[in-house]
Amino acid sequence: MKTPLIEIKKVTKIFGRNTVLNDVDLNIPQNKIFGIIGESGSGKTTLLKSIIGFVKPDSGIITFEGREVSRSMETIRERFGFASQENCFYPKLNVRENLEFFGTLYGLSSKLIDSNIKKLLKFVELEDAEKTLAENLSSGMQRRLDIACSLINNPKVLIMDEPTQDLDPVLRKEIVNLIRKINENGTAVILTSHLLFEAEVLCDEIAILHQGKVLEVGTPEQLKNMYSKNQEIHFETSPGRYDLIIKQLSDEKSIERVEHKGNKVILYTPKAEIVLKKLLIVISKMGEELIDVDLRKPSLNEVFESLVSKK
Amino acid sequence: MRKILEIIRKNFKILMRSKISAAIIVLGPLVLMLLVGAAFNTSNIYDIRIAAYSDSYTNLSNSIVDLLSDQQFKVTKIDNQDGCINSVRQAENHICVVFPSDLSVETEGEIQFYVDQSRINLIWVVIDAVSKKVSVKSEQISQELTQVLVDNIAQTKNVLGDKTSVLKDLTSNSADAETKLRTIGDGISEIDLSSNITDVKDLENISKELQAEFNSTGGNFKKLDDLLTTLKTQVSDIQSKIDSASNTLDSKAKEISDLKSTVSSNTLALKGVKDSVDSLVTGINAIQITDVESIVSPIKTKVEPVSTDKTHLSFLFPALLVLVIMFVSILLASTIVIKEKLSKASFRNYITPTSSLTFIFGTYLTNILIVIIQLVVLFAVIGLFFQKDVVNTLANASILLLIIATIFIFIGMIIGYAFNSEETSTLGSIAIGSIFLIFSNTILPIESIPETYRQIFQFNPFILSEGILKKIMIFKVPLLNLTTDLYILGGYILGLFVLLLIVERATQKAYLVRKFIVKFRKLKK
Repeated sequence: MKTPLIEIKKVTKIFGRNTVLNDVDLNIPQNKIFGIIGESGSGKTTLLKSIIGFVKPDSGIITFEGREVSRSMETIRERFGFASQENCFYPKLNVRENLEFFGTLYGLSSKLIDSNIKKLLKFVELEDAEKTLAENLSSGMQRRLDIACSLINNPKVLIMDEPTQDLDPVLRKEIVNLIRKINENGTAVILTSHLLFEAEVLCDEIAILHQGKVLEVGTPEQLKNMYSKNQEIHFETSPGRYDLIIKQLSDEKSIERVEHKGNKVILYTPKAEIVLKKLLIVISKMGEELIDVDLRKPSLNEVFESLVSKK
Repeated sequence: MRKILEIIRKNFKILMRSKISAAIIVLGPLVLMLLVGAAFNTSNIYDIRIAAYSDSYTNLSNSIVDLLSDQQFKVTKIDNQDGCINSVRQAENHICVVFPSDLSVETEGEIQFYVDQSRINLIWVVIDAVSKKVSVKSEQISQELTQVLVDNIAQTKNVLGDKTSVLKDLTSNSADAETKLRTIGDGISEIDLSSNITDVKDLENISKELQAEFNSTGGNFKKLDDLLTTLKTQVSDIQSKIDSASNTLDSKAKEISDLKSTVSSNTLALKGVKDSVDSLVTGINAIQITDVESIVSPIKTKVEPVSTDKTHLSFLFPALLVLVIMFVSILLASTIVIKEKLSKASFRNYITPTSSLTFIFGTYLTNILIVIIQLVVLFAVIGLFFQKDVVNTLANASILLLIIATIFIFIGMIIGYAFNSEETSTLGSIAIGSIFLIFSNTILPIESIPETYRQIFQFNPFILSEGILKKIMIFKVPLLNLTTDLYILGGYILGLFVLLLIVERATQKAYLVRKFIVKFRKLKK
């Protein structure tokens, strides 16, 4: 087994009366996109800030490549990039000036800064905005600039705290693609999100954090398999006499739940194939026109809800 | 070093791109100096308004009013005393002068000044200016009166001088008379009116004896006897006259003796008077100063300035310069620090491998460069428009100005690190600057503060800076002669730097963590 990039052992952090992190154990693998998901206030940001040594745990140890973080701050600072929830750059400096400034603070040579800026501007697609003041950029461009600032030192690990927060769906997709590209370039990404579907499609591994505790860690598939036996049948008919259709299926005990979502109905069942057959027969018998039918696996959302409700 | 330069570059860009900040930095001191220069480039006090009141004006009170009504003062006669005093309360006039009714040299009334002491910075100037005018008149009257006295003394001296010889003659004559009387008395006492014919009876006895002889001889004695009788009678007459003369002589001798005593005592009295007159004359002669002006003002005072500067601007310039440096440095430094602290980028700065010392130096150098730029503008304006020679002192002053600016920049940076919002930081900066200003010599002399507090406030960096700058700029003292002052300022820099490090360490990360915790708690709610 590969040595984990970051090892978090029994880390506890208390703010006043709040136990923000409670005996957290976590291994973050190399070169992956690792997601930490949880509700707001579950301790995600505290965990990230503990990893970079900004917040000192009250107990427990965090190591990076085998070295204790609190004792190797210089290395941590040189090898980590951090993109927080808020954009951390100077609005009165232009894109290039911001990158130059942070590059210099990382102690990079002018030559390296120049070449990194060139690469990064292309990478985050801000080449045309190089001389634009950061305050005049659109919110998506600002987010990309912030990520570029986090990457100016060619970090081994990029930590991103809610990278898609407050972005519209188009911009969110843009950033998700960007994160993938960053990871493809060899940078390990640790991100937090409370948008579970986003984490599901983006992360190689996910840790579910709830009230300061890690509830589960695994790939999205592993988590879904572990915590949800149900599959989902999404269907749409015309004229859509759904109540009658459901009534016809009432003898099928394997249907655990029925949900109406817009013009569609979702059936949750562990025996999806049998139920689907029966459904098609009923639709046909009733003379309904089948517009759309889809068999889906359960979402991470369901896993999360299942885990949290148990606690 | 690259990091420090980059921090300075970044700070400058941010400041310059904020138009208001840039305007304040460049134009602030420029406008201030232009205004102050134009306003105080003179030594006059303009438009002092005086209210005057008297129950009845006299020539003397009117002449004082006329004296006051020169170009510097505007005198208004008010109908009643309350109106006069109220006009000062309502700031219509600066001073109310109440003359006693029928003011004259003979009356004992005093001129009263009613002043608004809340205008503490102006009032002594006004009182001084008005008192000077009144004292001119007072001195003039005093001189006239003294002149009369001096003239009378001079005349007395002359008269006494003249009469001294008369007294001398009188004394001498009296002495002569006394001598003569003594001689007369002596002469009289020497007159001997005694005679050998002591008794007529002796003649009778002789006559009897002769008669007896004649009888024995039988001669005719009758003729002799008659002769003797006649002789006896004549002798008796003579005796009687002699006795009478003797008595008269005795009586006159006594009178002469009395006269002599009187003359003697007169001589003595005259001598006494003469001695007194001589003493008076000697006394008057001993008066060396007979010049009226010298008697009226025996001690002459003349205020000689220790510098050649003449305008208020010259005297104010060091204080003004320190004032500008103080407020600019404190406000600028605290603003830059707090803006950086509150900036979202500060978290990224914190997680870069850059020490806080680098940021402190970068911020300090940014501030000092801005202050230098402002000082260059300021000196250029002053040099061009108001005081050409001010540039000459620059060589000495420039090092000192940097030291002073450093002190106030450090204070500003400490404030910036200590506070957590721009508003409180600005308030803190203004409050600190105001405290330094209030407890300096600029508004009130520090000597008006009780001893204990004065001991503390004499170390006010504003006072120290102003004092040393004054020595250099006004009195042209070489910097090397001010080592003690420089050591104190150096001590300040060292102490403030240590304090700055402590405050930065204690607050910078604490602020970021606190901000994070507050956000976390909000989420939990």
